[in-house]
Amino acid sequence: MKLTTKIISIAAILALSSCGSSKLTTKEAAYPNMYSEKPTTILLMPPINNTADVTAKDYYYTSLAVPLCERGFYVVSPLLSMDILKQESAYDSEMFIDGNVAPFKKVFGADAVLFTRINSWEKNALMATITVNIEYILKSTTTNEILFERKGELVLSTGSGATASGGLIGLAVQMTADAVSTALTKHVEAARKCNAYVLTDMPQGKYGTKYTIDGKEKSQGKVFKGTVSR
Amino acid sequence: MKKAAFLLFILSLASCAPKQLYTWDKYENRVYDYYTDPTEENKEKLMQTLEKIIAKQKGTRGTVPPGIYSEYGMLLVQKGRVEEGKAMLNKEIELYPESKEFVLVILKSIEK
Repeated sequence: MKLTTKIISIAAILALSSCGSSKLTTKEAAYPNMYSEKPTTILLMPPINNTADVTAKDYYYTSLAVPLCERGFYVVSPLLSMDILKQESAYDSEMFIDGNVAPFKKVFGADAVLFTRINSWEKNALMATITVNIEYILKSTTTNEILFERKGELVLSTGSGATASGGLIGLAVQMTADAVSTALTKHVEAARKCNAYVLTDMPQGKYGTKYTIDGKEKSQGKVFKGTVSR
Repeated sequence: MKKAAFLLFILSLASCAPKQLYTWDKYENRVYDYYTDPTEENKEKLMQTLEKIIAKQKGTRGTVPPGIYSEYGMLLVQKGRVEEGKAMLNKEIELYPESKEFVLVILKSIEK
């Protein structure tokens, strides 16, 4: 075997093994504190929005409860907690994400607090996609430890997109339709897809069918990069 | 033979269908609409959806999802149906005891 061929082979093996390492992680290895603390009740904090799109915060704040309930957790209704967070001057998540979250146990009975930080939210009308860079951090109100965290970038499909079959005319029609129709709904759907993608890696809560027994399941890892189509 | 194969195909599809703990009707859309535009019309639509969720559950748990009774109760209170609202908030505690601390805060705020 030539030297260059050998080098390429070794590089390929190393590249493959490094890709595979995150895939081999189990949920209990990735998120051990979820299994030791077993949080039941989650309080959703208003997302931290680092993007120019002021509405991105609303898409996420209103679309987190359902997927978390479906993972088996009790989620304090954001519609009800919002007012109390404002009354307690605790509506600004930035103030708490790196600080002490213990007070949320007392007022809301929450075992854990979920922070989300939207770092970018870029629309591409031509491709009918939204590219989002986002972080999810679940912190314990008992120990202040991070129980679950994932961050990364997702390309989310918001429609049928630009396909070769429609040609230029088809593309123009598609773009017009996308521009005038349910743009808002598509953004909400994109946020939901993002939540679904990220939260499927979270170990299940008390009401989930795999509560405490999903530790050996494969975890996708704390850092993600992917595409979610319709 | 073909019928059996077809039946098997349908059954396999059914078994692949995702099993949700709860069913939500149009909940997420209604919550988004009400949160971003809290008009009486959007409140009414959200309440109708909550009523449907409470009335019929097809999820694997066969029970009302977390937070639904408390949201419905609060909206009833806002509509002036205070006693009905308080009863719904207490149902939230009954169904989900972990909600007690938070719901008691809500109930106290109603009494003020």
